[in-house]
Amino acid sequence: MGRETYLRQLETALRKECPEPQVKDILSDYEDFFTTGIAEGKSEAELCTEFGPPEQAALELAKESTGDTRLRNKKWSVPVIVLLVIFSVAAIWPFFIPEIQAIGQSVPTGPVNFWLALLFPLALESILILWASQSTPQKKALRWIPHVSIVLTVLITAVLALLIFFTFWISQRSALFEAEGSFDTAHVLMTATYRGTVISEILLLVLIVLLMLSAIRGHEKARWFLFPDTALLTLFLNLTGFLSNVSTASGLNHAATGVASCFLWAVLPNLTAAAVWWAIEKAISIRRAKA
Amino acid sequence: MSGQMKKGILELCILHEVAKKETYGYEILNAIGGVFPGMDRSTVYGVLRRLNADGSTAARTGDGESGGPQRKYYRITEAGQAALRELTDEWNAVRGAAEKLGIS
Repeated sequence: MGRETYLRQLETALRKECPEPQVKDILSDYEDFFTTGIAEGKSEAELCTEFGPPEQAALELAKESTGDTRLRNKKWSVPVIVLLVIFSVAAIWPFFIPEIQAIGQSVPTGPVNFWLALLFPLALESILILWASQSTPQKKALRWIPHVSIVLTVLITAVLALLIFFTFWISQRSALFEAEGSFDTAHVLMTATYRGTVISEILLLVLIVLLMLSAIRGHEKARWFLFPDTALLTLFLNLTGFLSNVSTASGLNHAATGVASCFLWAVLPNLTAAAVWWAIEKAISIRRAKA
Repeated sequence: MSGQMKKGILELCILHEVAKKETYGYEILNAIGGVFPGMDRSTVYGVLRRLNADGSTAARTGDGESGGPQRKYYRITEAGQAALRELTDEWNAVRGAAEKLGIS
């Protein structure tokens, strides 16, 4: 094998494993190794044998060349797993709170709910930051996942917004339907939209998990996209719970306050968490720059 | 040679080479590859890259062979010195233990 063939094969193999700047850096080093080796009187074939098969070299370099291995080699610690379980449950938690189930009567503004909602995104981010510091950059071949996830999340969010609006519209007119004697139609429509909403929400949850995984593999955009994502999911979960109970005229009186408090409950804590982490990361990077 | 032991010994050897004087990549690869027959120099290079990412060594870019690509020169850092002392102690302990058992 000659120098050019070796470098080409190494480049192809590296592109599958490492991000672009790293590929360039490694290739430039190998070019220097070849130049120096040849200047010292070795043949190209001899040098290729000394470096070893390019595919194997690429795999080894992808494993070795990033981050602090002492951190990277650490397995998931028990506290991290416990946190993950707790907050995964917290993600679907709004479904199980009787207060939210019966939200038509009581509005979720309690301090406990607020703090839990604040803790969820905070913990999610903490876990991601811990993992991100331990992982190697994402393989290039898998980088379409976060992009597709982000696009799909936007689409599903739009569908969900429409569905929620539709549910609200039907519930407002349920009295009218009743008067017309077409209560069954309203009921069928209501059930269908409700199912659609639940399916969309589950999809959104799956996408959040995909984004989480991408973020864990060091995808910066995916990490920051998680904040609005979790905010929207909690918002929709709450709205669904809320609207499924607003079918009576008395419930409607609470509608505006209910929607507003759902919004506060879901969006405010997530934005707070994002701000807190942004500040922490800024502080860390400033300290690092000083050191 | 396999796994962890290889990595540890390679780290020790690379840090030892770099501690002697500021030197460039090919020279390190050649010095170490020359004494470990059958070891791919890419493996040595991988460990060197990691040591550099860890901050045990630091690299500066200088001129390479005339007309060739730029060349990286590596030197040891304070963290690298500490790691080298630690690895040397470990190595001496292993060697001492092996000698006591009569392994030679």
